[in-house]
Amino acid sequence: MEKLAPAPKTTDADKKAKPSKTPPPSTDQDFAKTIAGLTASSSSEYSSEQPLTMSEIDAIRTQIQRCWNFNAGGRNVEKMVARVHVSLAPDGRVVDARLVEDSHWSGDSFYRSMADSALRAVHVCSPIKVPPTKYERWKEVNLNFDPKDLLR
Amino acid sequence: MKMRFLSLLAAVALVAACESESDQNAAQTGGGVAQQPVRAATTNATATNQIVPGSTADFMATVGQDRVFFDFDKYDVKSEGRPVLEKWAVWLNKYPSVPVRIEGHADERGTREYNLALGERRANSVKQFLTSQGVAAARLQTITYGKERPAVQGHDESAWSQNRRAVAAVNPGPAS
Amino acid sequence: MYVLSWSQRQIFAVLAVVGALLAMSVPARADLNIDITQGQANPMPIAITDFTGATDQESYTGRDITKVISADLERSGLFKPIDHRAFIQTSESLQVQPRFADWQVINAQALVQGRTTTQPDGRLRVEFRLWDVFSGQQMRGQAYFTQPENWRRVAHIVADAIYSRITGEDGYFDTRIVYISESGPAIKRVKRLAIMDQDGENHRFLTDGATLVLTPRFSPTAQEITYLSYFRGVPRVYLFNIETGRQELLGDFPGMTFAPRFSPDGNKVVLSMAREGHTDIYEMDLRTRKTKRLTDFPAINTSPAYSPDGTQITFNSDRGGTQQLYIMGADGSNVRRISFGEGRYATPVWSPRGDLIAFTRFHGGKFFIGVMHTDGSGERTLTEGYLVEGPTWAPNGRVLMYFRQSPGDHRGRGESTRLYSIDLTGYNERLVVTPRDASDPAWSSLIP
Repeated sequence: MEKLAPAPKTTDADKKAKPSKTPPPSTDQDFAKTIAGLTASSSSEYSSEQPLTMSEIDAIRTQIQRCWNFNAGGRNVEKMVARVHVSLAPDGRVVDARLVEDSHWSGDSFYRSMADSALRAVHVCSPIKVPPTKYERWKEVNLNFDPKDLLR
Repeated sequence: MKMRFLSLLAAVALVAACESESDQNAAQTGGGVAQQPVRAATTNATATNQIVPGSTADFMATVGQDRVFFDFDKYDVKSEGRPVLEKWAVWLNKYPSVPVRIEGHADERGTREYNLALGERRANSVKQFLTSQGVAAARLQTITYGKERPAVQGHDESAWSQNRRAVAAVNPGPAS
Repeated sequence: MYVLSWSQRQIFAVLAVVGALLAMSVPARADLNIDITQGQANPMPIAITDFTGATDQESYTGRDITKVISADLERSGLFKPIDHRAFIQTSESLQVQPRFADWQVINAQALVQGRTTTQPDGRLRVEFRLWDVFSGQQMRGQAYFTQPENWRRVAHIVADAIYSRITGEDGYFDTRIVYISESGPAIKRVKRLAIMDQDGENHRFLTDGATLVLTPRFSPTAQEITYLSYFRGVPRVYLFNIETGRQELLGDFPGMTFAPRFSPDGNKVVLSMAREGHTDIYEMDLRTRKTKRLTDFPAINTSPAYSPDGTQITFNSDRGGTQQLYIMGADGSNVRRISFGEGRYATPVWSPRGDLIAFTRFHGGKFFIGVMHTDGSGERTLTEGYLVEGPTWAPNGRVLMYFRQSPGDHRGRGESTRLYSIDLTGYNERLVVTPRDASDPAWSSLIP
């Protein structure tokens, strides 16, 4: 058997997932327009400083959970957490998603599989529906994919 | 083994046909009733009007029943089986040179390997009883079929109760 | 909570921990933290394109290989190969450069491409690449050389490589199943030893049915089988060499022997001997031919199976009144009971991963296949029925096979005995297609 060299213009993804090739984030002007369009009923100029409500957080969680397709039978996965740092554009598109490596599990094939599935979940879910007036609150989000309760 | 007896008893073709697989005869002719093979064997023998002493037909005609039954997952001979075994012992003591194979069986409500062990246990129970009645242990071969050779096809208690059994094969042919 | 209705998948109902509470109490610039504690266990959509070739013959072989890979991955229940008619980019243009947008549009999450070429020496070269469609990265790429008639095995090896990279599991497609083929009425059942590839291909009978045979098990190298045969009318354990067809009686035991299994190093066989109403467990060293008694208890001790490291043996025994599961050292020391549930427990088999024991349970008139941890905790039922029996593990410890007998009506019409496979999670239960009725499956290791 022979291991193939990576094809041209690609690198070995086994090392680490790279940001997706989605367009760069919108400019602030675009953002302002988006806000203006979507928050006609929202009068508070401080709304972007308001924390997200429980139901707003739940809504984000629910979306990601629907997108997270996960190999529930992997060995020890109930003990693992895949932490994904996500940067979002004002319209909710995923600009960047990267794994915050957990050195404890590095090299474990089940961890790599779970981490891959977490990254895929973020991309599959893009764009994520988010409360448009609170961009500052959710433009950077850490998603902790924690399957400890999934396989009982 | 079978060939030797055939040459000795060449005249009794029908009896020879009954020798090797008492269970199969029971199943084929009896349609599921345990007493049937007894009648079948008796009928055959009277038709030829010639029961050879010490033969399978003689055994069947004399003892009336070639099997005893067990409760689920049990191996002690039930009380109604004891008189049957006593008759076997009397007949076997009368013909001390006739070899016998005790075949232990289980119903299908158990796992294969455990049932093989259970069948051996049942065959051994019968062997123990017969030796206590004076039958020489060396004549009594035991074998287990576990749940592999039911006498009766069926998936209810009436079938299972007939399949949990130990059968005496007198002048046995090779097992299969 | 929301409710989804997938064909075969579960909804994970768990408490969602609100990590965001933390974020609400800290300064505005801090990142939002959300815990994702629920997910789906749907099959992953994967595009498996036809392996290309320069000649017609190479292309045909390439297509056949693709079909085997797709079927393997689909059967695992963890992948959903996408219909080729949905593909936008052709296999040929894919050879130049994948256009990942074309694959994202059809919801593919992974992409497989490959090529078959005939070497100057006549061998077949099969190469494949596995792509992550979102990141555009190659996840795995490999080439294999083989004789052209071995294309099917190469396909299984490629499927194993893909499965393994994406799921984290070891592969299990390049394996075989040995089992008992059954025919005829229950009272005169004909049983034959049969062997086939894990996907049912290359099926072949190893015995002619004249002799009753039961419970075959592979040696660790899958070259030999140990099984029970009523050859010459006596139930005894035999060894059978698949290559040579040579059969050999195992040991010179004074009683009936059955329930054999190889040790993980292949040097020993552990089995049961029934004698004088008791059944005990013995080991036989295949090199020295010496036997050693491992249990000595006036009861039924049977169905022994080694732990993957060979240091322990699990078995069932009725020494406590009813059939339960036990573990002992491989030398017979330190016997301890591990099952305490209602009913009878039987046929324990140790997971190749080492952490679980699969078993058959009989309770309340029904049979169950389940798993428990080796200390007896965490018992789970995977499937149940009128009769389900005899689990065997795929070598990766992820999938189990067993047999299921359906009684049919009171006259036995519709009666059947068939092999089934099931995922360790209890999902993806599937019929394993065999030419006739089938029982007593045993899964091989990966073919060396």
